[in-house]
Amino acid sequence: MSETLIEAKEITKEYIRGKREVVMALNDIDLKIPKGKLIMVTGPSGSGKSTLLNVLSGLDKPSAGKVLYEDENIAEWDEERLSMFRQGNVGFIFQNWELVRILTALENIESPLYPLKLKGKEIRTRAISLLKQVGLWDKADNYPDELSGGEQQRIGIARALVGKPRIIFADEPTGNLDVDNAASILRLLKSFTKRDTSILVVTHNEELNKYADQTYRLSNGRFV
Amino acid sequence: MGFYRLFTKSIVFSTRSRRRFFTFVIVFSILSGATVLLLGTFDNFSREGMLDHRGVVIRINSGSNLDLASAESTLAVEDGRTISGASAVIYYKFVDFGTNIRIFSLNKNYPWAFVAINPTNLVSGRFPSNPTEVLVSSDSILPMGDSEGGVFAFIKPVVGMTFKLGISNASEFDIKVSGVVKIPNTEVTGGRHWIIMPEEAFERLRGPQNLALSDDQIFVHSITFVAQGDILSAFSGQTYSFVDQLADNYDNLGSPYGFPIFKEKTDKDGERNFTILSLFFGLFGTFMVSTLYSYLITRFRRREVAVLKAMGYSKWNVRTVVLTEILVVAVTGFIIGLLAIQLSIYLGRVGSWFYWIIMSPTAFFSFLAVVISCVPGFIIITTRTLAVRPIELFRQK
Repeated sequence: MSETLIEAKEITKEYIRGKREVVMALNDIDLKIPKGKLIMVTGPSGSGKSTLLNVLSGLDKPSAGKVLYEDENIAEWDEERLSMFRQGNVGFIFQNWELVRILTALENIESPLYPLKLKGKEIRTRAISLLKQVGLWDKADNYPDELSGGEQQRIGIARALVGKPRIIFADEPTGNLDVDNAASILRLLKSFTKRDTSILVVTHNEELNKYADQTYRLSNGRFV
Repeated sequence: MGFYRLFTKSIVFSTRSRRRFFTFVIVFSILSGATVLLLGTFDNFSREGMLDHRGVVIRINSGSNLDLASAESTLAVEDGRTISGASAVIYYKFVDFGTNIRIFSLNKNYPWAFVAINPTNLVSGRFPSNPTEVLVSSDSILPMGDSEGGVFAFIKPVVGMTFKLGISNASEFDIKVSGVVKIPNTEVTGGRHWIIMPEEAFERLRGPQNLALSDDQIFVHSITFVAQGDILSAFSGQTYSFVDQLADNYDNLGSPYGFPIFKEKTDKDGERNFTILSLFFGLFGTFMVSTLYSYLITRFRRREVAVLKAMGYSKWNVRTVVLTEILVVAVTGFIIGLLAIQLSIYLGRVGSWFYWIIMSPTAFFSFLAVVISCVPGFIIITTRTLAVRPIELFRQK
């Protein structure tokens, strides 16, 4: 049994829609994310996948329940402490890639490391190494607008990995890609679990389950 | 190390959005230029206003002329050299050349201090910029001599004309008219035509090769005491105090100077208050533009800010990125605005003298004012943006 990295305990998340309507986005969710595993959470739109990802990563706070990281409940932390937590432990892959348009591919990958006390040479070495791993070394000086969707997503993955995070949260990482590109991205993500990096992928595409070590299905805020 | 790298990278990245960058650089350069001019008014770099604020002129030729030797030995001049607030004592010397022409020496660093030929009185041409050039009074008619010393023609000098000053047994003195000045009235000139030449040319003229004059044969038209003062003393009114103090000291001198003339500026308080008001609006404009720029940066790059925060950037990391962008624009705009002002001063110069505003306290304090006026807008906007959690920014798709 793998050691647990992050554990969600009885997580509930409520939204107020309009003036009075209360929406239960997550309802009493328990989840353990082991080290070095790829966890897939699937479900239709509005099932609460992205909400779960946001809560587990500390981007959002649960209405009730705990998110334990090494026995500390990160749901109680303030924004600054959460930033520090994310800086050293978490990488994000977004559906729309969210690359910074004024930075080149190489600079986008480097950007999470700029505030850290690392030597410039080490930052550059790490970024180049990842750029090669995602097969885009020849695109180092290209801006995001000059890259295809699949290439942008690869840069996004390299950016998520450059800080050597312990866990990567991926929100619909293949949502805007064709079947071949999607499979390629999942294989790439899967390869990084060998380095003990945990990966949580939320997606509506259940065909991707074959790449996962564990799968969960969400419906109306509950695992089914 | 992290902060420094973030700062330097942000400087490079801030210029990548070229259209936005250059648009705001131009706006900042205009505002910065206005700020420099308004602050410059305090420092009175404009020649028209400088005399009233920074100098006291004692004219000593209202009665009998005082020779240079006597002027230097008088107690009053010694007092002027040592008095608190006086930073320089400038003599304007002259010598009569024949019965029709009076030749003055011009201190190119203080052309404004010689009231009678203040640069604002220039009719055409420019002030002398080399030792062979001279100014002439607009009503001058120069006599042309023959080889035997007789006069055979009279001509009215114009800009660009060259001629020779000469006396027997001395080398001829080549000069060229660089400008024509309007002399206020004939009482001032004593019915003579004036030629004004740079100090080094004057010294050569009076030297052993030409006129061979001693100090008691050189006369002094006026003595100017330049009051100290910089932009800070202008704000506090201290420069005016210096000028007033000097004026008071010399008001009682009377003989042997005839009557000291100090033209007091009666509306100086009003002018200062108007300038302060203008400056306030100038800085308010800079504040508004910097606030707008902060707003645009954080609005256009709201999602980027959210991504940076999600990646683990602290509030100070994000502030560093945004502040650096604003400062790069503000400083670039300031430099361009300042250089434009310097260029306009250079192009509008009279003679060789012009004000180096880029080296002045005005430039330094303008720079501080522009930078400081950016800070409130930056704080307001970034505080509002950073108060929002990244998840809320992602939701605003």
